[in-house]
Amino acid sequence: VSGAATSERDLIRRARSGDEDAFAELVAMHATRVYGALRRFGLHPGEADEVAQEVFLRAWRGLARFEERAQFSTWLYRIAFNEAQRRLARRAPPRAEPDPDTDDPIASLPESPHLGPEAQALDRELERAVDQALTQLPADWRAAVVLRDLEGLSTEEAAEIAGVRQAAFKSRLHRGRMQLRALLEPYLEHEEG
Amino acid sequence: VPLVIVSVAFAATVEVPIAASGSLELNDALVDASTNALNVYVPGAIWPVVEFDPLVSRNNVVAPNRSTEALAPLFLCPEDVAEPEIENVDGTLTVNWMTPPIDCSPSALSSAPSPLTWAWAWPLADSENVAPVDDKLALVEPVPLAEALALQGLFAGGHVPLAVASGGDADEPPPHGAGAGCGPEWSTGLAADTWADVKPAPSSATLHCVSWTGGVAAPEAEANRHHEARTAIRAPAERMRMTRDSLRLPHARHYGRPPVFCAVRTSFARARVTTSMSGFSQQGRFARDHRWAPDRMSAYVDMELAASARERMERHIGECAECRQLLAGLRATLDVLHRLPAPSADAVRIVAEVRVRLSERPAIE
Repeated sequence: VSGAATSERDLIRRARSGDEDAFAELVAMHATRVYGALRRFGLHPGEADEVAQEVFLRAWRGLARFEERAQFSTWLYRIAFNEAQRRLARRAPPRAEPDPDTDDPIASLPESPHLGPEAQALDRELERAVDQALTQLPADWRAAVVLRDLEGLSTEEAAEIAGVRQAAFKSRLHRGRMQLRALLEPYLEHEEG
Repeated sequence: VPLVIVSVAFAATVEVPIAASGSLELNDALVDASTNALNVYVPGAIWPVVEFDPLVSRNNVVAPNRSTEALAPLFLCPEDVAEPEIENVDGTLTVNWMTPPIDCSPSALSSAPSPLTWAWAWPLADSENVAPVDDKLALVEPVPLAEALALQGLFAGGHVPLAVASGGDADEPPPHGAGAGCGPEWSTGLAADTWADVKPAPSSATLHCVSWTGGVAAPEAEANRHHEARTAIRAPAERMRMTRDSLRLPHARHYGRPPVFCAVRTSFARARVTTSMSGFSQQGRFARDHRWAPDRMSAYVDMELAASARERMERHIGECAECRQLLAGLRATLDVLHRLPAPSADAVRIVAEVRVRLSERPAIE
């Protein structure tokens, strides 16, 4: 067990006993990742900030129920995912999203602009393109891509957080990735093979 | 005797519920001659499941366990369905396979040496026109198209056919003939002139394997070989029995028109037939792989494909520029995602806000 894990476990134990300072340390350790995940789930900066606080408050209230079989960060992701979905569901739908489990993602792709070579490097423009592409994914697909490819969780962890079985998660992940690939095609430079 | 010319590709769609991993029993089949491939997708299927490829399948058995209403079940050994993605999947499963067209014209038949070692199928509506021609051909009872197609696939794979029956106990001979199936190890010790007699057999949990050389019934002289063949497959039969018992899936449904039946016959002209079919088989395999590969690319890059599926993917990627480009694009996308910096957060402010709100809220539940 690493020192960091031991330290986190100790902070969790202290926070469970009501130590707000210990919990604040936990918040400081995970705030960036939680905020980042919320942004990538599709929340605007202001929303992500607000929901991140709500995530930690829910974590504080639910610490007694946290079973240390999973990592604390995974548990936070689960809360963050649920909160984000709740927030996104309250939004007025900006456009008709395809059914993530039935529609063909590729067929519904918008045309992407063809950019010159100067735009093909991984730079701010590409980052914006990725952000923009992520927003075009159905929420379920986007969450799968975010959890697995951006947050770096395992399929098992990510599927648990998303609340679906691994097979369903894999399907969403694959569709999300393939749609992203199509959306980002003009920005990517790759070799065959 | 007028023979039916069969030079079409049959396709069948089978819809079954699936349970865990292991083997599948497909009870009913929908025959759709409008396409030349069977792709099995089921409403509610959440991940591409299994593709039974009789041309490359190592172990498979087609057992004629059918009633008047149901087509013969198709048994797939665990090796055929061992891809990890079928684990944890329930609901329904569609299994597709493709059979190449085979020239069954009278001229082709008449030129075939005796006995025949190849098989073909034609619709039941036409099968009444089929009758034995000399000793080269023997009409057997109509069998479900699924059986004949699978048998065709096995022939196309260059294997020696081996009869497989279901019924009775392991130590008793099959009471009502045999189904057809083969696999490399199952054909050990059997000559190339073994031919399959496909007849209905009662429902049973045990599979038997029998073989004959020529004729409609097993000659006395072949008794020992018959016994050897049964002995040789004893262990696989036991395995099949176990998987059958545990994975019986009786609720398949029919769609559209009723099943088409067919007859099966065999020929010595295996080399000629397989040679003429090899090009088509290659095309069919490529087409199947081309449909199969894109949906597995994520699993492939995540190293989550089983070894056999991974090998199949790599083979296809090596021969398909389109899929190679698709895979390269997927890898490039993932590379970008992995390098994407995390959104910047004001962690200090979040901590401060949380602390303020903690003081306003009830303590830990």
